[in-house]
Amino acid sequence: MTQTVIGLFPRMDTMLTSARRVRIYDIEEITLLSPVPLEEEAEDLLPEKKKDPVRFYTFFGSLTGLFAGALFAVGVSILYPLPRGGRPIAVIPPTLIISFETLILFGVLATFGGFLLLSGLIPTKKRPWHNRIGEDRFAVLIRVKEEQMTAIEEVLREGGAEEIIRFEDND
Amino acid sequence: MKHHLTYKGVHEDVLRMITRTGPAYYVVLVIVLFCAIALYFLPWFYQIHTGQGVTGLNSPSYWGLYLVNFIFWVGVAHAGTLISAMLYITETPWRRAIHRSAEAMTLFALLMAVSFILVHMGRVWNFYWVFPYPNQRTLWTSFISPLMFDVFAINTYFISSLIFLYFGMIPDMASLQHRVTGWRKRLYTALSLGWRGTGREWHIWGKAYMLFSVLIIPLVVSVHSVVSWDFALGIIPGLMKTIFAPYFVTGALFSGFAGVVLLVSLIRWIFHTESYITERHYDRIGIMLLVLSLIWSYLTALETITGLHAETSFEMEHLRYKFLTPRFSYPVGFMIFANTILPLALVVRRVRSSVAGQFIISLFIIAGMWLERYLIILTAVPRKYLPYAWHDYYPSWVEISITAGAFFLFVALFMLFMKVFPVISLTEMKEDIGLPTAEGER
Amino acid sequence: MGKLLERLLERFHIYRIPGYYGKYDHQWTIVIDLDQCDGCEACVIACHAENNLPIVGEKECANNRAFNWIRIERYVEGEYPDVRVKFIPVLCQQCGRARCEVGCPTYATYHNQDGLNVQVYNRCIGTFTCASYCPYDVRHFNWFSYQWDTPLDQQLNPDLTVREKGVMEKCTFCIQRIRDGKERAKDEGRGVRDGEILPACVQTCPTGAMTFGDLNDPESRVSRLAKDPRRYRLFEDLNTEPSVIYLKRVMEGGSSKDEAPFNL
Repeated sequence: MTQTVIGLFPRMDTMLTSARRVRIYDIEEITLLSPVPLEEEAEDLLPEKKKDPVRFYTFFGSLTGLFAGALFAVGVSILYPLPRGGRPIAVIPPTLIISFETLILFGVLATFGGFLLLSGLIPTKKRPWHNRIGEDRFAVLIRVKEEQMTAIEEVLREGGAEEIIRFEDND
Repeated sequence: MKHHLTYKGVHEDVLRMITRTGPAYYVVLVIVLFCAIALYFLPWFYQIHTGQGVTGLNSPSYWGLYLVNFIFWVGVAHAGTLISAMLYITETPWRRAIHRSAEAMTLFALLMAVSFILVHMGRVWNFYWVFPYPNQRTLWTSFISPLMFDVFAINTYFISSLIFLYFGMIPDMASLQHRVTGWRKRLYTALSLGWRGTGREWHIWGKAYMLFSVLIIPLVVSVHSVVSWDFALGIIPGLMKTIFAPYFVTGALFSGFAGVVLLVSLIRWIFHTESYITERHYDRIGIMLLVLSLIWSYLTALETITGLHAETSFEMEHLRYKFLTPRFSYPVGFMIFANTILPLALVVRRVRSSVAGQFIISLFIIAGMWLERYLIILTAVPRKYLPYAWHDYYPSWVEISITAGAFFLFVALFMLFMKVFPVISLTEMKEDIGLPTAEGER
Repeated sequence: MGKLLERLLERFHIYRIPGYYGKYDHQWTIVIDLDQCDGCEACVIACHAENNLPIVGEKECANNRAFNWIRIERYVEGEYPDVRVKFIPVLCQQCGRARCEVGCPTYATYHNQDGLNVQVYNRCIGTFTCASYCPYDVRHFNWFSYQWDTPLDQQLNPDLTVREKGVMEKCTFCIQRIRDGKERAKDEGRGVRDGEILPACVQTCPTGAMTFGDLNDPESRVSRLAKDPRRYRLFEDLNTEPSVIYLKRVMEGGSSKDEAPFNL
């Protein structure tokens, strides 16, 4: 039976030390929660730091936008050929401008969609959290078997945790 | 940037700004809304009912005050993105306190610009015909028209700004959701999408932020270039110039920055956020204003000198109409004073650091930039080619009223925004304060 | 695969021809002899009668909103007593490379197969771009929904619509008459005869200064007049390729050489 425990820390470095110390135990999941991004300091605890998956969404979204815009501008003009201004039906400069705008539009939408998908937002069930994390507390969230719970809590308390909360897993 | 602030202090301040509303705020809001409705919507409905004839437009002057306002508001919208995106990429620290209000300014200025497009149309009720979608009229839109570039550019800019603003606010709303009550709590809980601040969320958020910034910057440059090409791609003699795209973009950034100074100064005064927006911010913004003023002055001189050198008879008539007729030469003088000469005072550090000084200079700059758009359009369109067809244009009360009403509407929308969403970015302010460690603030 | 691509490119080539039509069915042209125009403005009145143009009133005319699809421009040259007045009837030039067609976002103005620049009233949403792009200022806007008091409403032409407010309009070379003439010719199984179709202004001109016809027809009067050495077109340097050809006045001494058209 796994349980979740959150330890709230008022200082960031104490939180990181405790997080590192907890890792020697057999834990299922460890997550850092903070009100600000913690990129440089918590490098060893964030294995995904090296990866940047969002840019693939952006790249392919923008590419789609470019071709969609060009196809749209040229294809639609060909579908309804009405001559105007002594210009040809399929004109190049407007196609470039329109496809640039759709490139940016699709790129932005794809980035936003990628962000929503990759960050794991939009929860389907209630996830463990605490109000003060958003304000000024840093937290470590640990999912571990019930047997190890007391040992983990001891480590956190030694590290300077202000508050320790247990959550039941409702799987 | 060193602060004496704490995370908790920032929270309390922002909460106070959002939730504690005194009666004076409501009174001002009601007055502004009333003015907006009376000056903006009522004359507009009168115009829709009676026809465009209630304006002062006439045969060669088919573009008047409405297009002036359209360009002005699109221009003002650009500075928000400049501050959010361009200064983010250059890692400028002083953008953090002001970028949320700048982004909100972008959004509402774009709304005003779109509304002016609708106001200037002859048959507004058919406005959706400019959108290319499958329909039973079996006709599509003509992409060769500069107005179609406008449709795509401004819509893309609006959607991108909206997404960017919302995306930046997700962590803030998640932080605040437990401290507010009632409808705000429901709104924040729904909009924060279950944000918890895990390492993964922050990581993806940071990467997406950089990508948004990289995408939006070329969009900003393209939007105002496209708007300028409404005029530059025609054959109207004072407007048929290739310098228009960079000229308009620079003018947009310049006027937008002045708008940001005005807005931020008002927020500072109303909500007493002196510790967030310090004199150092004003110092830096002053330098940006000065640089933009110099670039703008250079491009204006370029536009005039190249036109003078071309010496075509119609260009000379346009220049004569602009600089030698008293009706326009006085505004030209005021514009040069407000945009070129007065910002030179920002060289002096004392002027740069003083809030009142910058407020006054920005007021003049906004007026000067509005006049710049006024002069560009109103000195060119009434003097097209055939001299028999020349006719002056005088705006009617409807146009002047709608112009004024737009400012009230913008202020009303912004005042409503300030009470619904945090106008100072919590996350960025906390990043600015630094991370709390055992040795104290870092 | 290569052949498919070749066929596609060949098909696509059509859409890259400037102006799209290789050859127009007709090339309607008006030739105006400025030497014979005396500025009587009968053409203006005829146009009003034929095309359901409203009388806008004195106040609107003072704001240059007079509804004259064709207007007589008066330019006074010289000082008293050597005053000369030049009359130029300016109507929509039906440009081959029209600037107005470029500006319209909803295809409300486009080029049809007769070489005419048509205005589709139903499609117009009133963005004013076409009017601002026109170098000749020949486009007129319906500032209000104009009314005709009785009994003038009985004089309206049933072949044309009456436009509502918010719609741009301009001279159409009396397209209703052109259409009528073409249909009659088709019913009788022949081509359109030269001089059979006359727009209202051409028909009314008392001095015969205006001639209308098909430039594609080498035998027509306009084709012969178009070869006149006095010919010029308004603002040819703007590359709009107008379909209205003006013949310069013959000045004293019998020459038109010094009779200057507008220079850019």
